[in-house]
Amino acid sequence: MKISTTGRHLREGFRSMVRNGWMTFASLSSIGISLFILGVFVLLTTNVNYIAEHVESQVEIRVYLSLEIDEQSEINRVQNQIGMMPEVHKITFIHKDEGLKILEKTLGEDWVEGFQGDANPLPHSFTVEVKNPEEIATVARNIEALNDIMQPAPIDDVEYGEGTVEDLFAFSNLVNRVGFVLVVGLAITALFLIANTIRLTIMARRREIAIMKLVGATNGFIRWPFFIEGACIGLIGAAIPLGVLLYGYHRLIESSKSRLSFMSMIQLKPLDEVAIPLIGLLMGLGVAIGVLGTLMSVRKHLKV
Amino acid sequence: MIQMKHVEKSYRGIPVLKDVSFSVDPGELVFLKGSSGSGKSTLLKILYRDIEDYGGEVRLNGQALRSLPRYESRRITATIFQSFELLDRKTVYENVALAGEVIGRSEREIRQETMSLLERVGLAGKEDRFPHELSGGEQQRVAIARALLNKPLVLLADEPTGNLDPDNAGMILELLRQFNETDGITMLIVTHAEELTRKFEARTLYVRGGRVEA
Repeated sequence: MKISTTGRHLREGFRSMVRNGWMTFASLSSIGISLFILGVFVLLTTNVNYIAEHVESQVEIRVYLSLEIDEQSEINRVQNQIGMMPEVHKITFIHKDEGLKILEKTLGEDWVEGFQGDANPLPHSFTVEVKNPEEIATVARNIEALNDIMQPAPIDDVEYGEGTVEDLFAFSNLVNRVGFVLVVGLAITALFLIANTIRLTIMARRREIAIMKLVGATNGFIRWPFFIEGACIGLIGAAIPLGVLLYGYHRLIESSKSRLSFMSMIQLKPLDEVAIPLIGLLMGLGVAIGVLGTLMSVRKHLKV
Repeated sequence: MIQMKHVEKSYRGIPVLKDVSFSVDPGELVFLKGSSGSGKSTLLKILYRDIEDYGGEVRLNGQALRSLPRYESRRITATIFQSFELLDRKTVYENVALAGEVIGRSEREIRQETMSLLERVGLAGKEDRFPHELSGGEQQRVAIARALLNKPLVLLADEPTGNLDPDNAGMILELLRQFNETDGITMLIVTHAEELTRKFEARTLYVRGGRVEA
C-alpha cells in the first residue's frame, strides 16, 4: 500500500463500515461477545492457575512421628535423614507440647483440657518444606519409606495437601476446554458475519470497483479498503470487551482489598500482569478474525 | 500505436471476429463503423482488456497486450462509453479525480489537472454538481475528462454519442477531435453517426461479417 493512497483506503474502509450500519453492528457484536467470553475464560484460567501455584507453594508436609519415638537422639536421626533429602528445603521440629498449643489455638481451651504434660496424646512432628512444590508427593513417599530402613519404624503418618492442588489444576483444565469450544464456535460465527458484511460492501460498490478497474486500479488498490474495514471491525470488536473486562477486573481487585468482602479470601493476579497479554490476545484475535472474514469474502466475491 | 494481427473471437462457437488485422498510427483518429452485432464492441473490449480469450496478436505501443498487466494497459488506453459510466454518488470533480486517485497521484496534482480538464471540456464551475444534475452531453464530457486525466496514449470510445441528440453528439466529437489534435492522443471511435463524421478528415474502418475493411 502506497503512503499516498493510505488515507484514501482508510477513508473508504471507515465509510463502508458506516454505510453497512446494521451488518457492521452485527459483526461488531458477534466479535465482541466471542472475545468477551474468551477474555472471561482467560482471566478465570489465569487466576485458577495463579491460585493453584500460590496454594502449591504454601503446601508443607507434616510428618507425625511414632509415639514410641521420644528420645532426642532418635528424633535427631529422623530429622537428619529427612534433611539430607535433596528435594527438602527446610525441616522444622514441632515438639508434642507445641503441637498441643497449636491445637488449643485452633480448637479452643476446652478441647485440650486434661491433655497437658504426660497425658499429651500427640506425637512429635516435623514440618517439611520442599524446594519444588511439584516434588511434594515424591518427598512424602520418600519420608514414608524411612520406615523400611529405620528400626523401629519412626513415622506414624505423613500428610500434605494431597489432591487440593491437583483438583485446582483439573478445574483449570476443564475451564480451558469449555472456553476453547465456546470461543471457537463463536469465532466461526463472527467470521461468517464479517464475511457477509464485506460481501455487502462489495455488492454495494460493484460499479465503483468496475470503474476503478477500468481507469487502471491495481488489484491491491481495490482490495485494501475491504481489509481495512474487516480489520477495523475486528479491532473495535476487541476493544469494547477489553475495556469492559479490564474495568471489571480492576473493580474485582479493588473489592478483594476490602476486608469485609467475600473476594478478600481470594488473591487475584495483579491487573498489570494480566492486562498486556489480554490486550495482545484479544486485539490480535479480533484483527485476525476480521482479516480472515474479509479474505473469505474477497476471494469469493471480488473477482479482480 | 495499435496493431491487430489475425485476431479471432467466437462466442459459444459462433465466430464474431474472423482474422482481423489492422493498425492505428500514433496520434491518429480512426472511426470504426459497422452494423449492430458486427463485432465493433468486441474489438474494443479486446483492446481495453474486458475480453482476454481471443486468437491472434494485439500490440499496444509496441508491446504485446497480453504481456502487460491489465491495470498497466488500462493506464495506456482510456475508454469512454455510450452510457457514460459515472458514479451517481460522486460529484463531477470526484468522478474525474477518481482516475488519479487509483494510480496514487498526489491530491495537489489531481486537483490541478482535474480543474484544468473540466475547463477544457466546458464544465468549469460545475465541479460540485452530481451526474443527475447534468445533461447527457455534459455527463459525457465528465467521462472524457476522467478518461484523459492520467494522460493516456490511446482513447477508445464505444459509441460515445449513442445517447445524445445530434447537437450534443456533434459537440462531443468535436471535443474529441480537439484533444486528438492538441494532445496527440490516438483515438479509435466506434460510432454510427455517419452524418457527423463526414466532416472529419479521419480514416474510417468498417467491420463487416467479422472482418475489418478500410
